[in-house]
Amino acid sequence: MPIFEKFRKAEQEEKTKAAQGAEEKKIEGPTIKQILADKEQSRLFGLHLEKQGHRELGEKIKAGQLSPEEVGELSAERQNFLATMESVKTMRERLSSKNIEEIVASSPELKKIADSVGAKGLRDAVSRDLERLAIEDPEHFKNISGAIENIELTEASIKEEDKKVSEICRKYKIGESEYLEAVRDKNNPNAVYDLVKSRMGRFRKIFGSKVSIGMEIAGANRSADIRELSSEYDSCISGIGEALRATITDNENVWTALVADLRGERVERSEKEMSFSELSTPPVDGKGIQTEWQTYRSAHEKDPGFSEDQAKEDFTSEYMDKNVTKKKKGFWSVVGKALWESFIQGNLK
Amino acid sequence: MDYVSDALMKEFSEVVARGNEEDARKFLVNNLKQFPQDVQDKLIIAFFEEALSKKASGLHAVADFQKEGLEAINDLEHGKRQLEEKQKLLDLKESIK
Repeated sequence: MPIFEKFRKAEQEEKTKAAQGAEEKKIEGPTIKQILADKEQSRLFGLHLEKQGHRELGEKIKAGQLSPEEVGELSAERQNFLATMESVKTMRERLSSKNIEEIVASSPELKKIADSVGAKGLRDAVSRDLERLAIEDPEHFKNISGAIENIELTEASIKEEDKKVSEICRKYKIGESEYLEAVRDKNNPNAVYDLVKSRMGRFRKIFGSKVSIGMEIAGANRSADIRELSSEYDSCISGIGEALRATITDNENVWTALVADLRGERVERSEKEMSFSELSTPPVDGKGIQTEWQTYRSAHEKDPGFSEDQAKEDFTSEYMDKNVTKKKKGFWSVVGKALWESFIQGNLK
Repeated sequence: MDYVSDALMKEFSEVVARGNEEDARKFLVNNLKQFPQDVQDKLIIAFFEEALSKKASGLHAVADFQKEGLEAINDLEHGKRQLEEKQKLLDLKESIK
């Protein structure tokens, strides 16, 4: 049976199962034939098969030697592949130019990179690598995707709370003038941060020392006590309102100072993230890697089914495992892997 | 296909070996275009992902802060209303003495 006829049959069987009420949700998309006919899709599908441990299927497709079981396996992998491509599509839709620009604006390093490669270059770099990332490093992909979703949800929530904060500020006549004065203070470059810190300090003091309001009220039995407590509550509301005022600012400096203060309290590096001090650098230069590669190659070239490309990949993978920390998350992990992989592959001569 | 050169890797390794994270980050940004395109893409994604996570956690912290602050103000305003009621009751008791 011709190879595409096998695919067609397997896919037809899938459709039949679905029609019979199979529980699994099927994703509509290109057939295997269509995937293989498209150069880029075919490359990505090959990468997907390889990452799923089905490298041999790719080889057998080329040779037209698939067994019926393998055709079924391939159809199942097509579903997984389509699901991955679907999530890339969703993420790409979320990553609008506006979203990317906002992220770039929040990072001085990305701003500098955008100056160097151009805003379009940066957008393209983020966008074009998504398929590879989703296939090769799904956890990493999910992390980015989750952060984007998180930002969207949190921004929506903040927008709602902003209205309440505005109302509080209007009611208690709390303005932004102090924050803006601090922004204009040329004598103290940290004036905004200092002011935010002092407001936040007051907030934390009030918040931390707040005893049960019910008990306080129960204890106020004379008019003088009631007036004093009421006045104290007014002062607390003003103090909290002044701190909250920074959350509805349009001024980037005030916002940055607020976020820095809040993040400073709450953000800790996860133990799963690679720190800078854990970043390894190659113990040998290019020639050293070439020597190790030649030794590896000599040891394996007589193996049955030896393939030069496969051996290079295996060597790179083993070398990375041995010399680069296996922790998978975080900025330095991504940087280390990107540089090492390229460096090693460039020396496999 | 281009790869990270021996010279560039050596230079970066020297920066890393000095142990200053800021310098290492600056090196990557300032020398970005020296890296092959696929590595440039990966580095840009690393910076982008980091900025994304920072933005997400910053927004989260602001949202939590707003929630805590508004809840506290709500409690205090509720307390003030209770005090007003209590004062009214005291005034009433005073007036019927």
